[in-house]
Amino acid sequence: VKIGQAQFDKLAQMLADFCPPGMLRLVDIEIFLGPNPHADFAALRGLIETSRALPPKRRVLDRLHQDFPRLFPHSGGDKSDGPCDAATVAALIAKLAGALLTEKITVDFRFDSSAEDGSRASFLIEFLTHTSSLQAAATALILIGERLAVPEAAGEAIGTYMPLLDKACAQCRPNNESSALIAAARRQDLPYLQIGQDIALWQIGWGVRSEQYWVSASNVDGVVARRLSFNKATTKQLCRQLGLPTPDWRLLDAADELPRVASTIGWPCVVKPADRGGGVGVSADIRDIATLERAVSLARGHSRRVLIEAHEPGDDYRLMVVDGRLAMAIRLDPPHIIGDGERTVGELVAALNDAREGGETYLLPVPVDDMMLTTLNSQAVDLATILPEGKAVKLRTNSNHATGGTITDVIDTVHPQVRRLAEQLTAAMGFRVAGIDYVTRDIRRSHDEVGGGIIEVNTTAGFEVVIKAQIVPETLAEVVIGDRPGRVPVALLIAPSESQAEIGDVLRDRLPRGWAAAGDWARMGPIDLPASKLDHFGRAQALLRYPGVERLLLLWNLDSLYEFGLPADSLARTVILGEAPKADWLGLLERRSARLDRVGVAAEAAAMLLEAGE
Amino acid sequence: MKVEPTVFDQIARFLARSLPEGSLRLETLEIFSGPTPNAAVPTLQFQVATDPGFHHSNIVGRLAASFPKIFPAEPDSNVLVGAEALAALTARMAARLLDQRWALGLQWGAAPSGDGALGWFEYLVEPVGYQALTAALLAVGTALGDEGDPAAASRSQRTSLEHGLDHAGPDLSSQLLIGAARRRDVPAMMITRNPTMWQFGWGKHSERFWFTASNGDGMVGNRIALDKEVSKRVFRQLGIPTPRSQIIRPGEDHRAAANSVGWPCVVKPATPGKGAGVTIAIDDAATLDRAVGLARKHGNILSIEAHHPGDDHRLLVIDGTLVAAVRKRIATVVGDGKRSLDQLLAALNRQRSGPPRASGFLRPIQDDDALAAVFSRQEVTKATIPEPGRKVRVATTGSWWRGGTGTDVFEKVHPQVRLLAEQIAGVLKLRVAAIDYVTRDIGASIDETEGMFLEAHTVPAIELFLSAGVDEQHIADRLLGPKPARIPVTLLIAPDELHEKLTNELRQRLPETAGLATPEAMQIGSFSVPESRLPPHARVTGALRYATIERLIVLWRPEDVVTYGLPVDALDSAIVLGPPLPDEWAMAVDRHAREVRSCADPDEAVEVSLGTAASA
Repeated sequence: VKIGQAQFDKLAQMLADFCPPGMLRLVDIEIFLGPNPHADFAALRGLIETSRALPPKRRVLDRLHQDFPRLFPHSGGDKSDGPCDAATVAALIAKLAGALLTEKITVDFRFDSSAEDGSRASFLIEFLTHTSSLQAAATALILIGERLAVPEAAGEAIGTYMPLLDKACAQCRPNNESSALIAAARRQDLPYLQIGQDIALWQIGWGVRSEQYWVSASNVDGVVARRLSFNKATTKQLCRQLGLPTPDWRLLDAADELPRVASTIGWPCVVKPADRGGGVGVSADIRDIATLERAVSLARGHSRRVLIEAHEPGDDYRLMVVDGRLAMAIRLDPPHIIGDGERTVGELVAALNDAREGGETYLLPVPVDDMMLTTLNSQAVDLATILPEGKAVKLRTNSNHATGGTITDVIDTVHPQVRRLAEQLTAAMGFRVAGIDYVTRDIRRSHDEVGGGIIEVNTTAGFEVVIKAQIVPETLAEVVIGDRPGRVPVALLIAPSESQAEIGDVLRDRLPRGWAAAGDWARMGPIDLPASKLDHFGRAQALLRYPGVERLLLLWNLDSLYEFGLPADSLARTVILGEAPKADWLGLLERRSARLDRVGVAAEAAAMLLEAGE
Repeated sequence: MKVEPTVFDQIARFLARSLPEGSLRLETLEIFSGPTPNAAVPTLQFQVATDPGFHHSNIVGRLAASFPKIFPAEPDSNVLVGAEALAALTARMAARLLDQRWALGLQWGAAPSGDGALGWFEYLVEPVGYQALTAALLAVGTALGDEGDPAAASRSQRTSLEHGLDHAGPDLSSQLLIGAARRRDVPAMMITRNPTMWQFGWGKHSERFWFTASNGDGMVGNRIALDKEVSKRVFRQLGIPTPRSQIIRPGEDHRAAANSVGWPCVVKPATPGKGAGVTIAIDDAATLDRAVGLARKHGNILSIEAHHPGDDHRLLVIDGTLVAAVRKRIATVVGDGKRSLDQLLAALNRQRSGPPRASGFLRPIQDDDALAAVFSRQEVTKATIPEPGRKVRVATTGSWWRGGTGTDVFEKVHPQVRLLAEQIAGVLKLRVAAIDYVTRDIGASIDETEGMFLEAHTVPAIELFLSAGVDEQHIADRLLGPKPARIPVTLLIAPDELHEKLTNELRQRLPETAGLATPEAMQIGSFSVPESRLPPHARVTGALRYATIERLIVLWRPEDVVTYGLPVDALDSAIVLGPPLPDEWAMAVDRHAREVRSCADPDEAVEVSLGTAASA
């Protein structure tokens, strides 16, 4: 697909603002939505031309290292001396664009470059969505151009173009869990499609073998399960009916007299909104009426439904169950500091947060706020206290990762009774994937021995952070995807325009139930889909989204092939009627098709496509 | 089991206060969670008494006069009545009071017992059961005396019962599901205390419902359906025609948005709100401004979409198949040249007052800003007296929530429209989906009429289909679906002294897919359920809530059976170890078990329990 002429001119002009066209010029940009002769994946390809002596590579690399130490961890050094040429520039553009996208969209973007004729070279970056890829290409092009033009000065383009790229990427960046799933899908060579341009909605697999995910939930997770987990009081009631342990609780009426309720629940207690997640409005370890009153008004700020719950002594665990089996178990500890006999609490907190802000750790900084001060206060210290060596002080009463808690993998030590409790509860609610919050003094021992209680059940299991932190293996995301997703066979027939009507008639006439076919039209089994504004590629993708499709037949011509790239990254069969594609495209079709035939007769071509069970 | 003393005292004292001395007294009140010697279902069972000589010769006639629907006149209604008849009249009235709302055919009965008589009725939901009983006792007690009108005497109790039914009883869709389950002999139990959430079937064959939604509806599809903008983008990705649309956030220019989606247009709150705040067919800027103001009362974020001419339709797809289709119509009143719109509306709303069945499943029209707006667009006010035959719209859309009505068009739906509705439900993985479609002709293809799909709903307004005359049982059976069913339950009755040994044996040898419930313990496969606070009958229902078990063994003492009733209403087999049950209970077990065996040896009983379970 070519981008519009106006857009291209604008891009070329922006580049010229930072780098003389005599030095670096953008010749062409095209986008392939499917595999193409240049890449086995959807890609944006830019062609550049350099026509004047360029600065030494070393100086450009030094500059990039200075500007983007994380993306270019090494300076120019001695080895890369000599002037830049078109191929080097294209490689730098590709690397910068790919690295920026990888960082901002949190999916590994592939990139490549190659020398073309004369002083031309091309760069290639993987394509996910239109805006982000184009913006990344533009940004990389301009930044590299600027550094070629003025290698010694800090550039201005970063300040102008990075925010634009951030904005374009923010709109299509999968949320954390989705990006872990996409990474797993890529490792397993499974196709994925974004649903409704929503950052948390993704389809993995095609047709009958597709599954949709919203964060970590799929459609195997039921609506009633979500309803049961949404309100913590409902979850707790269900636990009681199932004979599963959960701390005593009361839903607070406006009229409830707090001291009386508190005395039936007992001290210390916890107050939380019944139907909000992420630790919002939760106060733990409440030990007196004044604190309780504040906690209740805090919680009421978030929901009408507020519950008071007995404090369950022990550590917080997150037990994630997938397909009826415990798949992850982690302990979450509240953030804490340990005294060294010299520094104050304030200094220790600052040191902790400095380390966490460095970006090398998955742990989040702990905000210094009222909640921290109250927590410190309850341990009889404040920010100015100098802690004796070895003395541990909690900075939060809760261990939410979002407010700085730490995480430890405990899957190998979970007691079988606790494991089954989590697995059975998940099944009883109707979840395929759930994250259960469980408190116990010792996860290695049974509930019968040490007690413990279920606090709540989360629909978003929260596995992505622990995968990124390498606390649990990244294969966990593959477990979440499961066995169901896969490809359905896609067969492609490339035919000249004059044969399309005849072949179309045959395909439509004889299309079996469960099969879909598309050309300038689309049909599922015996019924036509309505006309739509979709192009050839969009129509192919649309049919791969229908869950009833067992097999897809596509009737294309050479123009659509050259325009879009292959309609799918793997073809069960390709049939070419008449004129052969260009050599590089033919080579691509041979590589990507399980079987390729060339025929001369339209009827024969159609019959081949309709043959079942290759 | 005796009910909580507070419950009993409350009812008994209320009666003593309201009825003349010596009239009807409540002697006992028991609740059974399973069949009893008297009833095949869970019942409230009560004993009533009256002072000798305190009776009215025409009690049945007096009741029939007050409650003609509950007590249709019978030829022998003037007979002198005894305690048994009083119990029967009370039980019948309590059951019918509940059934006027539910239409489930609840069971009731009575029998002599000692000096007085026992009555029982199926209660389904505990709190409303007590309310129904109280109202029935009051009415019968009043009819028993010479003074007072049974209807008037029980009115406030019947009103409380109506409130109770509104809030603590199953909603209409749950009633439909319960009805379908009863027809198919599928057990139903409430999930938690929310009467809109029910579990049908047991263990592995159970399905949980919330209104008409079940776990067969996917969470992702539900998420998509709830977000109308994402839904439309999904439709476009699928090549399914849907109107151009845009979101209007606070501060954004809604006229520019209208120009971009095109005129005429529709404005509504972005979050679905039961048809509130929707204005359709907006074709000028002034109407648009008013429409935005109206919609903003229901949400800050609005959606504007192109208005396509044609009728709104709602297509109901269940388990991948189109089950019903209605054309929605905006509620109207027709002028008679005499009454004002206010009066016409009041007359319409009188027909539509009361619970769903009584109002033809239609909603009353609300007198609010939306009504004022729709009147103003038609240049009328509430005081206007429309000329005879003039139709005046009383809502902005055909939404059922806004009083809209429906016409059944199922037979006419074009195959292409049907296919796409079914595919949308399939893409969203919704077992039950209601899909909104606009077309000038439901019988023509989408291409011919430029029909447009608007949105999908996880929970359809089922009343819309019923009000259009779609068969209630047909829809209910499809909603319940094929999944819910029983699992085999084996009851082992053994004396207390053998329980420890039997429990240990059974626990150790329990297959992974079987459950065990005893008065003290619950075991699901190899999972020993930790909680120790549940009473024996709650352990049985608790175990049946576990989705992994394919069979259940219940080990009870004879006294547990007598206290709680049989643990479930249908037993695959019953094994009696040791002394037999009291005769009437032994007969009840006989009636409800497919097979009954007596055993003398505990080891043999264990083998039979596990063996029966294994072969089932």
